[in-house]
Amino acid sequence: MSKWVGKPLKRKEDFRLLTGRGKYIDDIVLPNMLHAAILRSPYPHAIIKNIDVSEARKLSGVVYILTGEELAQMTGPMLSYYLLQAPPTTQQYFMAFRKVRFVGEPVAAVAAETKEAAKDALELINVEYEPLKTVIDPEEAMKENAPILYEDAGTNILYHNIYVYGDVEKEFKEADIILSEKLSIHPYTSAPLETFGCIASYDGFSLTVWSPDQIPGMVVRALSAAIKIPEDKIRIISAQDIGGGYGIKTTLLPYMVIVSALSLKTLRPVKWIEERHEHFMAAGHSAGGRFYVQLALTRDGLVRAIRLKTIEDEGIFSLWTCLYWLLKLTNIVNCYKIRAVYFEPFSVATNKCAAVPNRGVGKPGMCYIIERMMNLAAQRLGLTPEEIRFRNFIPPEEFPYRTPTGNLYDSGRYAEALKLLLEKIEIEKLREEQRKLREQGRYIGIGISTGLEPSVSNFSYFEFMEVGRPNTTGASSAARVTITPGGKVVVAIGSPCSGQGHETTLAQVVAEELGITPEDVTVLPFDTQSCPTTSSQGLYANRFVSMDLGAVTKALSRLKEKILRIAASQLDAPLESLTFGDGKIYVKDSPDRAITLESIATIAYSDVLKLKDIEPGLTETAYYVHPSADRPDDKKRMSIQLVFGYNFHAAVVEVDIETGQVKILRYVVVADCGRIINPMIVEGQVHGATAHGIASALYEGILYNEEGQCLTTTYTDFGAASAVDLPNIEVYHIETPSPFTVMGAKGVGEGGAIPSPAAIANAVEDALSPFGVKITELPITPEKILRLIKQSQKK
Amino acid sequence: MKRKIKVKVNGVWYEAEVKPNRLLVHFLREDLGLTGTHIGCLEGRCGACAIILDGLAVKSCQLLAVQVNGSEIITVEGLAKNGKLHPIQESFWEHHAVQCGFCTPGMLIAAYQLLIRNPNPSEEEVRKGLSGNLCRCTGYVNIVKAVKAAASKMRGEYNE
Repeated sequence: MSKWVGKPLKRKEDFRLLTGRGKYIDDIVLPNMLHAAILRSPYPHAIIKNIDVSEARKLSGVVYILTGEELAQMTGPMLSYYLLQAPPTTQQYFMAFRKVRFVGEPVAAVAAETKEAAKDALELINVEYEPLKTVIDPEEAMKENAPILYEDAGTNILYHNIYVYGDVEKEFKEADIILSEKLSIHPYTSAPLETFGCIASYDGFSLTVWSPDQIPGMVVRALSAAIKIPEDKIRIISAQDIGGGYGIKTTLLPYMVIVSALSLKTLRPVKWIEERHEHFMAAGHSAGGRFYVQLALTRDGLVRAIRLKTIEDEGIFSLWTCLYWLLKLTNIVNCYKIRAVYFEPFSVATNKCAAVPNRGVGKPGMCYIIERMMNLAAQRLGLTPEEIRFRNFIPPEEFPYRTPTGNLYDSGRYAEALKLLLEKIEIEKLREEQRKLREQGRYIGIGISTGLEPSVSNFSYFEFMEVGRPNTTGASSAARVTITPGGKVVVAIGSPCSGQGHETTLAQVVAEELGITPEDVTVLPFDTQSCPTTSSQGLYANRFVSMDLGAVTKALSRLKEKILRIAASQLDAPLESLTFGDGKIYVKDSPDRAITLESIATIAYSDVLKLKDIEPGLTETAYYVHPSADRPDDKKRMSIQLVFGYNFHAAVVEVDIETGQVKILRYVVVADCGRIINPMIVEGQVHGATAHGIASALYEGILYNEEGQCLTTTYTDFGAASAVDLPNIEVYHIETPSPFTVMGAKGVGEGGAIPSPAAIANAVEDALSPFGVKITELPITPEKILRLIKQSQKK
Repeated sequence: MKRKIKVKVNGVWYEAEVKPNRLLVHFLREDLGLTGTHIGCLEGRCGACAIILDGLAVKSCQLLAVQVNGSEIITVEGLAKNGKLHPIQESFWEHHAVQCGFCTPGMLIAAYQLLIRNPNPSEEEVRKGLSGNLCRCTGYVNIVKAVKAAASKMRGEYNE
């Protein structure tokens, strides 16, 4: 019986956050600190003829002006080590060098005594541009006569490949029905409420950087290579509190390089905080995609094969390119027993801000593709949306299940989860109600979407793509657990946290294992020099609960063994007879024979002669590798991600056919993330991720005009969803532990964002079924709905 | 030319000289060190900078410091009294209405005003009352629950 694991413990983090005592990057002030501001390109594509900073230099308070040219001389181009960069190789820099490729690209940076002076100086920098032809649409960018972003590449198609798994030709030849469709998804962003920012302080010898970056352990090597300071002399300290990340904050590296360079030049601390409009125009957003998809079906509704040509709009093709198509390989067959896969990805460069990781990265798009196609197939065959899914689900007895592309699904009870979902929404009653309301001229729609939630990236994918980092495989995490001399516990893991409650979850697990209370456990904020980490560790890909906890659990088991050895010698009892509880180690059969953890700590650190042959101290560091991480085989099969939860969604919507407005009447989720450590935190993750998916399907998106100007540079223009736009989200759980993770837990932070766009699209299409409307693109704005209704009435 | 202002913040009077173009949010964060009031957009949308000004919730990024001369302000730091959390703060904690915490100060302030005006709001009224504030973590689900719970707590037990 567990005392702490599985309990909805109130978060340890919250007192400081509720009372205004959080410490975010903008709250940090250092003595003698300068402030930076960044000049950005007003052109989507232009040659930089000249930059004149002479007037700006004269402004009082201006200390240093760094141009792209000077930075390029310092750093050279970005190295492919940290780019997912494919041939044809492109030379990319941390700040625009000789050419700009999107509106908002950094061109120069100013360090000044005040923010105001830095911003005023930007106005005085005179940049002479020679505008070039611009390409915004990815399919236009693929054409031969399109303007080229990277001349050295000679094409805007920066990655193209064909991956074939199983006998696709045969499946399509033998299919009773072939469904073909073109679908598309727009660029959107989770737009964290806290923007980017960082502080760099170089003292002539070593560099300290404070930042809300999600992958500081990974970035430190790249920063070192860029600014030519050895890695051991760079310390990246994560801000204690990070105001949301959602993947976007895996891409702070260029700004850390710029701000560090300013500190190197001035030998003073330099702070830069991104403004909201800068975030929207230049921080990055998800890749827009065009999808040409075909399903091969039997007349019984069994999906035998899928063909997908995906065109990913990578914008200027920056740090994490190729991820949007790559991660589609994690859920291309979703929860279904599909036998063959043809996959043809394109990564295309356009004159837009870079596509960067955003909650779910490519998986929401893939789920949208397959879940839309399942509904279209059901319509074609006269089946209900749930029936076609039941017929195709991988049955529970086939787990662990190897998909045709090589993913090893750990566990799942898909049919059971869908049954629960249908039961919760009372599907039969609901359909009856829908029929009645339709007679009254009200258009209610029910949308079901069953989405796999793959987690934990397997870095063998660099090998799989034959690009990017050499000598990088698998998935690993590090952690250190220390019992202090006073008998309390301090935990360090190799990744930061941006609101997921790691301090609380870790404390629950540690308290459970050591028989203490969560109050006695402290988790250190991440810092590259005092926390152990690995090159694949960080706050991304739902890794925490499988990987970081894996390392913590491993460290704990070593620590426990040492504690037991000390206890055994003190209690004169056999090691196997001892157990942990109530802050003590005691003999199971006679609990009076006990020693407190505090006394053990005293012996380990002070009364060391009592240890005899045991080494003093109580601290253990452990490194954990995910057990099912593999490398691509000769047929290019591998598990791109390693842990597979799922989120099944049902949306009930009403469409106002006069205004095109969609109102969500009910939203229900069944989530399976394996063993749950803190149900309250887990539910919060599902809520937030689901809200992102709903909002991006209906309201939010990044828009560019044909000239390449970003039109959505405020929360208002972007359409950020407020409390009145979003529904109450009901969450139910089933728990199918993973056999491959230490505690059986699976990631849960992305799952809600994956099936939700499809659930909304399916619901809206169902509502409008009397008009025979087909939803093929997102977002589903009122304008689009009215247009679709009008078109259908013309027919 | 700097102007002299006098303002009461969380029960304490402060005198300061500020530039006429200094935003109130910068004055609070940088001059008074009250960093609980956050900056999420500076465009008056996100509400992370909300404070109570003479009894009304306002977005402090939309005001100049010189405009609050003689006024009384409550920021998030002033909600707890004598080490005891305000019932809204308690409810946010109990209902997991906080994830990254960046919107939290503004949400607490918005909820504070809402519950003064309407001690027994419906879910719809709560949602409307919070619609000037953005949260990107919670989908608002638990924030709405927390505000409803705080309302019943305040009706039943809490006297200021």
